Amino acid sequence: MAKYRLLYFNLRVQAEPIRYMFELASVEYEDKRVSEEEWADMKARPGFGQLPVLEIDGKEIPQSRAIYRYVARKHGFYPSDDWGHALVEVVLETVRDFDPEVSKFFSQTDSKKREEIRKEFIDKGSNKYLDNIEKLLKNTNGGTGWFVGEKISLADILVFYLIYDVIPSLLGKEPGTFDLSNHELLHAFMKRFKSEPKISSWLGKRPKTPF
Amino acid sequence: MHSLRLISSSSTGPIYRLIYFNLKGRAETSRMMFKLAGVEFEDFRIDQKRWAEFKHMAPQGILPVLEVNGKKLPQSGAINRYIARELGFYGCNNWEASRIDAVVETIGDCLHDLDIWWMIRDLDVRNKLQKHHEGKLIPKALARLDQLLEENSEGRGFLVGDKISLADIHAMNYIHDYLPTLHNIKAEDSFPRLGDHARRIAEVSQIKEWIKIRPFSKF
Repeated sequence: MAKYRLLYFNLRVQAEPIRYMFELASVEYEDKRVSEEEWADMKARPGFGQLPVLEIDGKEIPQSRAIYRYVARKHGFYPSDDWGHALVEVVLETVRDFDPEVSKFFSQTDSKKREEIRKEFIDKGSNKYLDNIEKLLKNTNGGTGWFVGEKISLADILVFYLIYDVIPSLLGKEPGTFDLSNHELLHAFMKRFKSEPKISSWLGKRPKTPF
Repeated sequence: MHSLRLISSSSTGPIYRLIYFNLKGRAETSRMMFKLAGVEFEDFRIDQKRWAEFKHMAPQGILPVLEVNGKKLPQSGAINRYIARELGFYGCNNWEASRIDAVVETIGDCLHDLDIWWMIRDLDVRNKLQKHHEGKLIPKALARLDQLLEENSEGRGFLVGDKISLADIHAMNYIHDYLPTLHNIKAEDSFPRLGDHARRIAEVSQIKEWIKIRPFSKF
């Protein structure tokens, strides 16, 4: 059995999908939360110089999305057919389209501009992304089950993470508080995912972090 | 010079249609993989002025889209990986696949950042973000790619494993074409190994031939 060591800051954003997968698959891993001093030492090493990093038996995988895919392939979070595999990738890429919004927000230091970005996101932006994501959900079982195939995949994990963790941190709110009243199917999906026993257990015991 | 190529017969293999504008952009890596594998595909190019007429072809309203026997796949990242897996350009195990992902995601981070400021009208803001992109982000990304190349083959072979992969083609397009054209950056000035690698990949016969005959577009 591989020895996994996940290295990241004491934060959710970027590393949390990995933790969700390990928890769901009951895979043992060291959830190493790196301090500022440790990070200063690591940055000085030649190599990737970024987190998260997944250490597997001494070898390293950098790049969050490379790690997501590796863990998903290894622990059954992709369907077994090629086309289903590609559909999961479509969801991953669609969720990724949201990244410029996150960067736009966090790179903005003027608090007034941040508020403007937040307001614009709630009033207009969010619907555009959520419409696209809900459309994808509808493609399988009319949107009453999981995003692709008959079991939880990386697609479900990333959408849950986006809506439960990422969007609320953008809005300065607690995880799981984003209002989905305009998107019934997504709302039901979030409830479904959150009530998976290993997920609700993790949500109950994970460290509380600002984002 | 012609080399003997096995072209897949459309009666036994899937029928591929790659839909995009007349640009290299987000479709060129896919086109090259088809060409390299000698697999036939319809290179469907839409005139941007007529986009409204063709928008129905795109499930998410964006291009590129890959049709496989009529089933549609949007998102260039998904398309690139699907084709890479189907045609044998995704490494030979999970570990190599993750290294290929690391290359593609590193370049992807740059392209996503580009999306943030490319359309900004306020020139002061745009210039500031462009400076950060070209002065900090791109060099950092190139350093990471260079590191991967060094780790794999001491810089003399492929980015991942011991045969050409999605990583090599994608990196070549970025370094050989995108960076000089869009950003006026010659990667080989600071990263000669990456420059050599890009040149090596561009010289592979099927890729070299495609570059010669493909429809012209600046981007």
